[in-house]
Amino acid sequence: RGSDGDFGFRDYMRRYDPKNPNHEVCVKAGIPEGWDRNQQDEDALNLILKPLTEHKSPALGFQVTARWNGARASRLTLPHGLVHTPVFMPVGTQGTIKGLTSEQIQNCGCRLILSNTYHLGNRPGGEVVEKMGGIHTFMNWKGNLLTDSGGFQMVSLLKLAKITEQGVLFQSPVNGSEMLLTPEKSMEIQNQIGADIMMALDDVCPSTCGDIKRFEEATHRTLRWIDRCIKAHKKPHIQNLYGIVQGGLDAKLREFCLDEMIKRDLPGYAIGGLAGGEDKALFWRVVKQCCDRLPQHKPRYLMGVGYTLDLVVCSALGCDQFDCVYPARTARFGTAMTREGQLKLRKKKYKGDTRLLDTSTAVGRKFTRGYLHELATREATGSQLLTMHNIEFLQNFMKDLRSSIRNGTFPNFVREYMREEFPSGDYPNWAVEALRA
Amino acid sequence: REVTIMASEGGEGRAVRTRVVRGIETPASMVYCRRGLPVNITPDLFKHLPGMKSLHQPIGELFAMNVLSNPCETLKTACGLQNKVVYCTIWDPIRMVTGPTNDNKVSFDTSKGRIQVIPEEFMKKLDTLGVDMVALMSDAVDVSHSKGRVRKAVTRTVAWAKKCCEIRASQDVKKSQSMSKDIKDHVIPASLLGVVEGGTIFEQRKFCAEALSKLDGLDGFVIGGLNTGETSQDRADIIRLVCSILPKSKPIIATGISDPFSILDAVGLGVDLFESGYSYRLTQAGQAAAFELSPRVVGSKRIPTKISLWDPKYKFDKSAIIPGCKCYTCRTYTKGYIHHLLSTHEMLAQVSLQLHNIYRVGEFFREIRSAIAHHRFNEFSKWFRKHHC
Repeated sequence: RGSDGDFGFRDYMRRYDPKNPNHEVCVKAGIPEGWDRNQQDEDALNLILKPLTEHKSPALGFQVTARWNGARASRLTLPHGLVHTPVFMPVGTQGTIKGLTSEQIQNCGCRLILSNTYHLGNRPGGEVVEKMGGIHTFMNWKGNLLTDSGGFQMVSLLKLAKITEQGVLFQSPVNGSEMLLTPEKSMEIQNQIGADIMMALDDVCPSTCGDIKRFEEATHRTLRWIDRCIKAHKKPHIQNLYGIVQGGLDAKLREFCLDEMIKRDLPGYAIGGLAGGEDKALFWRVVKQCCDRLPQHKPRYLMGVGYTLDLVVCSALGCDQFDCVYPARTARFGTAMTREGQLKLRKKKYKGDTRLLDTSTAVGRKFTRGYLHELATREATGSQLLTMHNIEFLQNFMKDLRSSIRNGTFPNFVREYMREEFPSGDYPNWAVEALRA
Repeated sequence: REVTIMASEGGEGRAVRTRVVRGIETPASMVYCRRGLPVNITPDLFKHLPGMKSLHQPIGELFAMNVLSNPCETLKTACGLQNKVVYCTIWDPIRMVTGPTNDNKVSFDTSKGRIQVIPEEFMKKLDTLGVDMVALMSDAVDVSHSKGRVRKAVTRTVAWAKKCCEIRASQDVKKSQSMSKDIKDHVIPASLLGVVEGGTIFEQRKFCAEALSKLDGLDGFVIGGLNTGETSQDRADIIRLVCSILPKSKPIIATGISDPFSILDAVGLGVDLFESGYSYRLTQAGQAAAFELSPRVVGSKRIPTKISLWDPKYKFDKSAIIPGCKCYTCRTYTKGYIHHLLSTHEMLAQVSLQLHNIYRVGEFFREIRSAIAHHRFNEFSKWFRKHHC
């Protein structure tokens, strides 16, 4: 093991057999390298790049292979395979990305997707998922999975949630049943689900809330809860627990939270409490502060960021993982993401449009805008096609971003992207400032 | 347009036979489509449904859709259905789309409102679409209509069929097609199918069938208005009567038959193709086709033909819907997972059930064809009835 220079190259990952900690077991990871047409060349390229930094946790390996200022292109090795970062993770809340089969998700280029603890804990329930063999077996997804702790529901279901020191008392929007989500309970459900990365339960205060006292309370409580989470986490050898840095938009609170989180020495960290509609000028400064302070050799996950502009800027600032419901959700509303921008396909101007949707994705090369205009929002097939297109589009986009960091052409990539996205030159100020920093 | 007879076995009235109708081997079932594609099935999933060769697309919505934006496109190229056979009807097996008709027009409800069509417009639209088979304009009646109404419907149907055949015969079809030259040569004009209407009134059915058999321009027939409230005995009698009158050289399509026992009866009476949205109905109810086709597997049990995955007993079920089934769903997902998808109202439930149901129904028909080819259809039919409930 000491001479193992190819940690993460092959589709085997060593992990500890829980019955015999001295015995190393080679376990075949889920998706072997090169299976998806999008990333075959990335996998091959990664075989020859030497890492700049190296980090190993029992269930995670992270190697930065290229840098451009703050941006990094890295290898993230998880129990179910290798993931190239910066990576975009589509969200499959209830154990499925709406309407797509596992094979379709694979073909879109995803190796790491997200699922939601609160929803899965309600339906079907943590013990059901566990009995069915864990989430990977349950939904037959061979790649990696990350579960959100349920913290975000504190924001999205605020009216139905009551936050106390003990935990969050939720009232289900579906059937009114109550669930007390404590850090221990969140860890228990996430252990039962069996995702490769778990998020700690944090006290999330929406960044648009103006009450500084609430932010302070939330930050301190998050730190008390992270300790409870670490204690309650039963499978650190196959599941990674990420801590979430809170603190609102206040630099001092953030710094305090950062310092404390780093002391806990977790496999990876997330930057939470943003992406809630706050002022972008403050948003990027907080992201930069966190990225500068968090350890360079560990992965950073910026939660809830999904627009391509945000992805570009935050990758430049040093984030590695992103997630958002946006691409799948907007597909169901009939919007396709393309190089020409967001196309709202239900608009009359697309009726009879003979142009193909977008030549960069499989779906885009096959169907015309006119036909998708008829299908979008009206038929299930329309929703399926657009979801596949949007997700594949974003995966291709991130792949280009990673290539540009590795090749040293990241600034060109950014400039070209900005020109395409804002053809009239009205670049948002905040983005320009952030990229200059 | 080819209709070659592959094998036949004596049955009652018209012999039970397999044929090749425009490239599809019959007996077969046609999969229900909306706006061009089968419901919940995108073209990249076609490879998981190798037996799905024919699609049933109700024509009403196509009048409202602007699918064909340029003369180089047919419906099939626009939707990616190059190898499939598309069959169009004015009715929809799942929902009510036909509106009130009069002596000159049929009307259907579309997303753009009600559209009324006369025979000339109908034939013109056909030519632009480039589909393979079309059930001509007809006036559908069922058990609830009075004798007078049924008589009127049959008169109209026959008159329209005559008119459409005349229009087709009179025009130089190749010239009138507004497609570009390079595809005109490859596209065979649509086969016209006459619709036998008449509700449960046998004299009217007889009259309609006799009148339509005399029309040379028709390439096949459809028995319309089935499964609209009549008893299964009446249904069998109607099919028997109509099949005995219609010419044996032309294929017959039956509407509305969506349970395996009725299918077996109808095949025994001489029906070639079925369009009823059978798979789709099962999927919408959260049910999966569960019949077995091999005596070896079944033994002496009686098996239900379908199971409802809403049933909470499947919550912890780790087995596939049918353990031996080779469809994508049975290879990939468990009953427990599909039960979860149904309870959380996820679209993947419908997608996976469609993949299974279309495949399984396809397998059923494949077994029927194989049984006919080996002259053991009656045996198969008896065995199936005995072991399924």
